[in-house]
Amino acid sequence: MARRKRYTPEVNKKTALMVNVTSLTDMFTVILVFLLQTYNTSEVQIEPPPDLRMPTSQSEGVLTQGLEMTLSKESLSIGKEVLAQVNGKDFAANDKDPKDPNFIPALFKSLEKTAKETTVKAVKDGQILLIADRELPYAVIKKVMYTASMAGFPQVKLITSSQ
Amino acid sequence: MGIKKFRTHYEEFELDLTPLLAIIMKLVPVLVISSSFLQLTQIETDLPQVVKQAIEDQNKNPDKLAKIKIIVDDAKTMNVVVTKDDATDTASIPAKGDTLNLVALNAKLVEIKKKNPSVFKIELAPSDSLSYSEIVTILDGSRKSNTSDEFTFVDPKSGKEVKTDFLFPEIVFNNIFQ
Repeated sequence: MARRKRYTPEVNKKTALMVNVTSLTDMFTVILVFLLQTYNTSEVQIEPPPDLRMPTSQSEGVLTQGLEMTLSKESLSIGKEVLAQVNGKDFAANDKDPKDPNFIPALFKSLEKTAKETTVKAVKDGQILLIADRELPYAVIKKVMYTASMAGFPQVKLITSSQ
Repeated sequence: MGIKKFRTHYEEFELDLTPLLAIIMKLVPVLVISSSFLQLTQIETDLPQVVKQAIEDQNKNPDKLAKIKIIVDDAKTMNVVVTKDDATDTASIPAKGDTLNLVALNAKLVEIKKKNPSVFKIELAPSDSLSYSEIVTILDGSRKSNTSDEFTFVDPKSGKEVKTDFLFPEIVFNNIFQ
């Protein structure tokens, strides 16, 4: 019994292999347009902590330089240094001044030290970029503003995410 | 006599996209690194020069112009107090359910701005329980009109009439030291 021959398509081995890149170019063009739209031209780069949700605002203000201060539902920090603990609604009792509950001594000391050591003009002028959680009550933010203004930082700029 | 060969316009041609693809491949990683997928803004911003001048003028002569104050209580009722020449006018805007009535606030501020076009500064006194996001919405609502109204005021420097869409761009938290 004769064995049936397996079907093999005819391939012209002399022609060069051509990869069609049109669809790939289309895809990359779309990605390129998207990335150009999100391209950041601001001179200041702020990376909010992942657990912090900022409020949204209609403001179109471009970020300017200043001392970055993070106020989450757990803590108040400047850079990586944690200055005070927050319990969601207020600062921890031991972080507040017993005579003046609006005053945060650790924040005051840190700001005083920064004001003396900094070479950044905006920080010397007393500009703070406050990155705060949107669910925090005004009572907590007020204490930060109060202590900051006492330490010679009267310009608090509220950092928000764009709508 | 030779036979002429005609080329038809139906012939296909291949456009070499490889160099374009090579450029895009180099651009994409650069843009991915420098892109910010979270657009951040800040609330105190640079204002138009004329508005800045008017604010400075208002700061120099605080008694000449009306003083506007928004007091927000724990029940989220907003009391808009306008003081001018020893006369005080208070308008109360109750909360809409559990939320601030920002539409009514904006309408009230537009009405006040029409009467006091040279005033650019207001004072805000929120209650301690008000959340930060609610404060930001009040700041947004006080900054510009929802209906894109324009207000005419006299530029203190040139004496000419200038139009602006700003309501009250300078907001001061006045209960920080209380």
